[in-house]
Amino acid sequence: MSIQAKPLHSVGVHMKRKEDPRFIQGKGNYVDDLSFPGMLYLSLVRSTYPHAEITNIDISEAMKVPGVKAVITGKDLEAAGLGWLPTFHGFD
Amino acid sequence: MKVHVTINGVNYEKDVEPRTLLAYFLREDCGLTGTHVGCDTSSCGCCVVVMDGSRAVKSCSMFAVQADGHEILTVEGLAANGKLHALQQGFWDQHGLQCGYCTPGMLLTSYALLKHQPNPSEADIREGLAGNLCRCTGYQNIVKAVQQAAGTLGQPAVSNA
Repeated sequence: MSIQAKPLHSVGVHMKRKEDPRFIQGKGNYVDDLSFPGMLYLSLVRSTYPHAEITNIDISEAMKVPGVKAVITGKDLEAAGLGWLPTFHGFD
Repeated sequence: MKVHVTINGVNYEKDVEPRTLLAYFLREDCGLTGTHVGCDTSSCGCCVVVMDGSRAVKSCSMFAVQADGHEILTVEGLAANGKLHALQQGFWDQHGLQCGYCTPGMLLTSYALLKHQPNPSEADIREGLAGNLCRCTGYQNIVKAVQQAAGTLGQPAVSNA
């Protein structure tokens, strides 16, 4: 006896994606493609140490550079309630 | 400096700083944001465009002024009169993209590849696309997409190199 499985919804069915037409024509509108009047640019500063503890971040010199609107550090994120994401391991 | 470039069949005349890279010229001066900047190290190939009909170039590694007097084909120029190019159709049919960021570069490198090798083997395709990186697909469907466009999809993977 053989069992013919009926395709469940879209499982096992070859489907073409709906988002592809804009990507294959270069109309993707990625973040860098967006442009607004007066928009600011974000630059990330990453740690140069693979395992270290941040004791202090001094933003005063950076804030003196012309055109700098803000320097956002972990303290600002914490104050905004955007602190660490909880994980099972936490801090070891 | 004045730059005259024909992009996708349209003449552009712009005044640019000599240090302007072609990639940024296309994206910012000409508003053609389909060409992407992915790496800042000339490694990823997201910026590839085709110069003078058959030469794939990394637009991040070329100055706009070097394109003066030349023809450039970007991803926006592949479809003609609303009809997708065979390569675009191939990428869509074969699921050759996920996030789509590398896709313009993949399409244009493949375009140039097929101009030089209209009947490429799988090995030829993989070597031809060696300068284009993809973090999403694992390349398998990209190869199938190019094979579909070349009309060789489903043929045995024997190198004719």
